Amino acid sequence: MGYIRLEKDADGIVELIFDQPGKTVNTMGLEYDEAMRAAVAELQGMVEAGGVTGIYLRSGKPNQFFAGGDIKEMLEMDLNPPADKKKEMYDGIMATKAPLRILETLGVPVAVGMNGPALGGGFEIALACHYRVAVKGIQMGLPEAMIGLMPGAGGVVRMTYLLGMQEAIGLISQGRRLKADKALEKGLVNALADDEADMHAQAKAWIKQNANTEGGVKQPWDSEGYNMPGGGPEEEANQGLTFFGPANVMVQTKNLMPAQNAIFACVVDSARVDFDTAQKVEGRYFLSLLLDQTARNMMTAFFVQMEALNRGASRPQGPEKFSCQKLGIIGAGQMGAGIATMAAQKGIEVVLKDISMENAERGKAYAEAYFDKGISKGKVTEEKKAEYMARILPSADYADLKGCELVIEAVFEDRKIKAAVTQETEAALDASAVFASNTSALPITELAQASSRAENFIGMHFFSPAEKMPLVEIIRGEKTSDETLAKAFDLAQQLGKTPIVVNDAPGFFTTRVIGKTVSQGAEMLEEGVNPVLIESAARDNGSPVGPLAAIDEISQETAYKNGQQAKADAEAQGKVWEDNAASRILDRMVNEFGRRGKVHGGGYYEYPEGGKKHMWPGLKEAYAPNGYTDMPYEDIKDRLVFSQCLEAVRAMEEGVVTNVGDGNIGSIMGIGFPAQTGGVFQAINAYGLKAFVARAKELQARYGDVFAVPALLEQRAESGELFL
Amino acid sequence: MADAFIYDAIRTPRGKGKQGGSLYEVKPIDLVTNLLEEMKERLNLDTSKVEDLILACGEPVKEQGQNIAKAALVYSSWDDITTGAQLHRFCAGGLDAVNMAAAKVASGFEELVAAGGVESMSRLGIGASGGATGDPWVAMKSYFISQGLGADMIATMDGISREEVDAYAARSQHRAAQARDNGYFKSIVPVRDMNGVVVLEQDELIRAETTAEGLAKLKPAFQMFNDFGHGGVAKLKYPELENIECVHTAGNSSGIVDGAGLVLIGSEAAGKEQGLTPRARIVSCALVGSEPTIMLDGPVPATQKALKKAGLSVDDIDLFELNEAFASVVLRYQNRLGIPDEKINVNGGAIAMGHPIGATGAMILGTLLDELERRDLKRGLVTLCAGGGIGIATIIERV
Repeated sequence: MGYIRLEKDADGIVELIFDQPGKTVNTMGLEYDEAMRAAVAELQGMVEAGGVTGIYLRSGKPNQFFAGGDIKEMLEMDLNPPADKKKEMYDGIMATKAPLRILETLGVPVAVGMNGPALGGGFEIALACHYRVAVKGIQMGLPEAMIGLMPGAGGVVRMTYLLGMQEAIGLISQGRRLKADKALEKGLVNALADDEADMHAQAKAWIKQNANTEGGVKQPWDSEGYNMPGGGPEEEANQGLTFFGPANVMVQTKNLMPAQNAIFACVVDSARVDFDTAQKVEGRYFLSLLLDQTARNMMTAFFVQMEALNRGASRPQGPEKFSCQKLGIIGAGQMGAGIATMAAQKGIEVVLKDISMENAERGKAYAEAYFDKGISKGKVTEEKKAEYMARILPSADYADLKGCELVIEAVFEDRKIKAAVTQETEAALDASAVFASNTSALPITELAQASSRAENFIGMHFFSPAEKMPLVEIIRGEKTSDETLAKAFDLAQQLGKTPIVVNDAPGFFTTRVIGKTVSQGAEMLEEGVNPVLIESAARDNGSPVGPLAAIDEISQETAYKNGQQAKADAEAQGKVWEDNAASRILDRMVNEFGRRGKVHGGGYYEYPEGGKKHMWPGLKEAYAPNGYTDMPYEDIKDRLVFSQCLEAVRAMEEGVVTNVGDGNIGSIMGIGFPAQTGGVFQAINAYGLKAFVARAKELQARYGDVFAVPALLEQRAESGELFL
Repeated sequence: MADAFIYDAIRTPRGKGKQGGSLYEVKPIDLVTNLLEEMKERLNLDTSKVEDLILACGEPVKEQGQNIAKAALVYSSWDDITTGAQLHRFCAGGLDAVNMAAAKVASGFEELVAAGGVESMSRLGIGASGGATGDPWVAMKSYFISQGLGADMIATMDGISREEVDAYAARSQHRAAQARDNGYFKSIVPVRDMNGVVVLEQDELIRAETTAEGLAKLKPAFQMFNDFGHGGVAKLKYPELENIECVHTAGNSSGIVDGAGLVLIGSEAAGKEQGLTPRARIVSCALVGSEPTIMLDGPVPATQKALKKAGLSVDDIDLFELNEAFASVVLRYQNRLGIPDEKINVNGGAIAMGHPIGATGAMILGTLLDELERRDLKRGLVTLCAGGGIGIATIIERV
């Protein structure tokens, strides 16, 4: 059976039904191209022969309309093809567009019914139809920008001609997905349907109504007197958009996201010329992204690896899906309260326990403040808030934890306290309950020694603030069972988080990786590098926050205390503690300069009231009294990134992280590793394995053994085996 | 290479470049023909001997569009044999027209060439002709930002304070007022209407009463550009730049005005043939491209290049005329080249009198020559920064 079926009904309406064989969703790839070309050619013949009332496009798959481009196919394309191959690719793009253009200019009414997600290529097909009906609640949009691409089957042009430049740029460059009712408001959909049957009925009714339109049914842009909504680029009203828009794109993306540049330019360029010429323009920009490394990075991480992660690639296959009904949280500080907030919102009963009722109540108030903010933004209703709040039981009594299927401990990073909490909690729980320690660095296997059920003990490292940060790093201790791991994994997903799974070692994965870039920032500061350059280098690498600003946010005082705690912990274990640039600088910042962090009035930065933050001048006096050290800017940038990539490879070598996707996604979503690189491992692939090794060796010679190349990377560089 | 001589350099007064300005009612072409007729008359010029007219214009569109030089020649009483061309080199155009005329003469290809520029900013404001850098893709690839913010970048990077730029601006006003009141601007030719009635006789933007304290009250003109994304783009290009201090205002940046300038360049023989006395000789010319995001950094390298070509040093130049696009441009220039206040822009500049984009270069060449003659000095250097990162400089020497 083919991809597309054509079925003519009694009213002369030809249904064009997408049903890609062997797939649960329809995708736009070579198979589609062939089928669509043939189907539209056949339709042309049928229309010419007469007796066609109209055409109705729909999916043959239940609740699935069309998912978009075939990413796997795109990832296999050569990044640097010869000129004639590029020409072939461009011709291929134009060939994909062609049938859609024919369809919308046949003259007969063309309607589409979207019974499920219509994203990317699928929505581009819908945009080429005259009348769009969607089942209520489905999602649609052009999300290509999220994976470094742009629509290439006419989506940019049609969206621009339909909604105008401003709206098109916003929707496409942010990759916005819209619910059907929102899409209706925007004019992207003409009608909503209650279910598939209603959808078919509405679409066909519209076709019959419009079958005899004089001059044939046309798209707005093919109709006489068409004016682009909002006007073209020369219009006075659009001068702000075209003058400041490009700068805003660059600032928002640090000029590191070629897709956003291309989308903005393509929209404006499309608006300057006629519709068919605009299609050529779009094809050229699209091709430039198909041949772009950043797009490959993002497709790899945010599509292929993310999908695998969400499907549970790192979850043991055996255990059944777990759905938590009652969750215990020990410690009602910002972290514990944040997790409680999320859980309550997801329908989980929460016991929020702290040492006093007062503390526990304070944690509950944190949730209330969060929901109130949601109300003021129109995202939460009073009823919903009441429902959520009713699920949180503040408590100072371990006995209240009875019946919790899983308990997350979020107390101070002190082994003794954690051990006591573990034992007291377990005493109140059923034997099957899971105990999860939310620690950012303490080894899980060692913490599990306090447990009487080490197989039920696991690490769940949430990131702060827990209600916002999308990642949970799950740490499997030596004795952690598959059942326990599966439960922790499922709970993370239930909370709306993306879980990655790593094995136990000091600092696990994310903490040890980000530690390296923070150390490099400190080392360079101590070496007398201009701190503004250190921060700019992080920005220009694509990091959301610089290594110095990051400490200001956490506060130097907290970082200092954490360091002291780690030191005490190491010494208690009988280990030797060595100070380092970061600890030395924190010591001076806190104890000598009283620069204790942003919340304490200032850290590395000053925060003048009503003014812009700027570097504290005392840093220069302290670390570069005789002028800044001259260091190549590329070195400053690479020290911040290479240190992390190399540490990630070491973690893989040691078996801490086994799945590349966990490393990539974890680094981006957990610790702000530059997203356009596709993550801490993909960044190495993108740089080129051999080139990366050579550059690391250069950095090692100049800046020390933190840049030494792990054997695993040497081997990969030699064999050419990418981190995939 | 033959000598290229300046036989005359005249200009219109500068009218406020907005509705209500005295020259707003005057078409750009009439600004040009006023000067063409005046030059023909005062030199008793046989215009059939003038081979070409090169006119610069910053917004060559609509009534300033196509080739305003040839249109003005046809419309004037000049001989039809004189041809004309329109030139665009942003703010450097007026001086570049002169340099090109000098190059033609020095090469021997032509003997007598007129050059200058025109700009009616009241009728065709900045941006009237659009421009390739306004294209989003081009802007992103070029790190395009507002020019004024480039001036603020210079101030930030050089540690030039708001007080310093305001003090400089106040001095420009005082110097210009004094020069005007004492009749130093010999090259000004009044603009007349079709009946010969004078429309404007003197520069009308000068504010003699300006004080640095008064200027300090003005709002930074380019803060909005900084805050709306251009500051961020600048920082992407200059990682050492933490924040940009926006110090430039309408009071310490060049004014928006209408006006035209015209210069006659010729060989020795061509002058003799018509009984003209050369006022000065073009010693050397230079053009350079400079970093385009800051954009305004060209005068220093252009000056160095022109000096090198002439085998001269900074000390050999008696007076400097640097277009006051923005105060920081002049202050950086002085700092970098070690030029004292007494030798630069001695009769004020564009902050006081205004900067009619395409015309300015030709205008300030005349201003400099007037002052060299008045002081009986020998050598002067004219220089301007221009859009996209262009620097231009010309050294002249009285004969």
